[in-house]
Amino acid sequence: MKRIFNILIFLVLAVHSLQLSAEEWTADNIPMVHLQDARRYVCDPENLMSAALRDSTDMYLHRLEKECGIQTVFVIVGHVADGDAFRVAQDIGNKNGVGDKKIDRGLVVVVAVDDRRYFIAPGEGLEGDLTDVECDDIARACIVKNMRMGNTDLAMFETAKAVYSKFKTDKTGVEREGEDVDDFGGLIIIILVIAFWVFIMLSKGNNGGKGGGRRGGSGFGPFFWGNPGHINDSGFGGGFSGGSFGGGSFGGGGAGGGW
Amino acid sequence: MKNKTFWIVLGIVAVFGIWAFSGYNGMVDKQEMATTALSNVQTQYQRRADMMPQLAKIVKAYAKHEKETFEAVTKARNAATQIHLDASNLTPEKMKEYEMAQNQVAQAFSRLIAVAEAYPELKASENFKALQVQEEGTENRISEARKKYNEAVQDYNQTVRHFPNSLLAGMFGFDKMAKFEAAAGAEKAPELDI
Repeated sequence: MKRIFNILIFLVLAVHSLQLSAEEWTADNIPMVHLQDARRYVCDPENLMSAALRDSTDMYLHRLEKECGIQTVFVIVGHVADGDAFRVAQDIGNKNGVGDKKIDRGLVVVVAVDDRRYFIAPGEGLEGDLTDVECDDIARACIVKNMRMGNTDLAMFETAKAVYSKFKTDKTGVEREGEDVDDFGGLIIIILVIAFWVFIMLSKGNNGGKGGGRRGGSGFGPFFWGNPGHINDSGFGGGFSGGSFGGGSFGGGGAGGGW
Repeated sequence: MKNKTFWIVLGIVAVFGIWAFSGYNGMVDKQEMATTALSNVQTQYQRRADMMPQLAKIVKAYAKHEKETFEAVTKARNAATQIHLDASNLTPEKMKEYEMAQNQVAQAFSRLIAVAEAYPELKASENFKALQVQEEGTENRISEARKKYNEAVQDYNQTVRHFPNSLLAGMFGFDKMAKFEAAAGAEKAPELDI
């Protein structure tokens, strides 16, 4: 009798964990990390990215907002509702109002790993500067190329870097086939972040933990655990404050597809 | 006593006046939102119509003898650009007529894309690829604009049909607006294999 009971418990837990892993994400249930922490933009509820690269991606996106006035939301999940990354991207943009209301310069990127679908959606005010063709070029060079190799981290990081580069230098840095790719800057950042990460892990042990740095007072924690912009603060490990969205709207522009 | 009655009547009139004032303005705002959304839909359809000559020109450069297709494209585009929706005189019949004309354009576009399948050089052309991406973006914009229009109309229709707003709506001529009907598969952006 006890054995049957154990088997039943095991089956219930197995089914429950399957349901959890196959959650279908929509604009309503994806947690907007930017609202909890103004320096975070990558929504990764299933922890599909490594913390180090997520921080590096956040860093580029923070600079994109501060230096170019473009507010972003990057979403990386397993499944989206109906496998429709376009719908989720538009809904996230419109429901949350990503981007400033007056200039509508928001950007939403959704990557559904298990659905093998993505969509890059610029806000209505950004469509002139980030055209559908440019979105497609960035997506093919950063998302499609890396996701085909199973490199989720780099797909998101390189997309953030290409978008930042586009608005900072007017070039995405995404070269067409046959041309050399100058990825030196990005490579240096990745190496530095990973080296720093390893250094802290070795010297302090894993005392930061997920979200540990947000409690404040834990040395370099915030830089690695979600507050990369604090590097400019006078003292690391200070508190954090939630961000807000500006009321931007999305009209269906951008590019999407699969890999 | 007479004075008291006067103040009660005045109070009722004031409350009614405030309600009518805010109700009327609310309906005006929602109607404006719906008509703006309609203009946005037409803008996106116009954008697609404007892209057609460009796409046809590129396809023509590689597939000169697809005369029938080019004629159908020109015909569909001309027919679609003749029909405009007037927000002040919007009937379900006119919406249907407009949608049918736009569906013809969509079909003409599909035929142009299908032609490219038979011409590998055309399919590989950078200009053609760029236009395909733009076309896909335009279809997405149309789909999104239609969705926003229908949502705005739903909001407006609910306001003018709910009691007691319906009394004001009847008095000031706020009529129910027509929505876009979802044709089978028409709202879904085409899947372009590029």
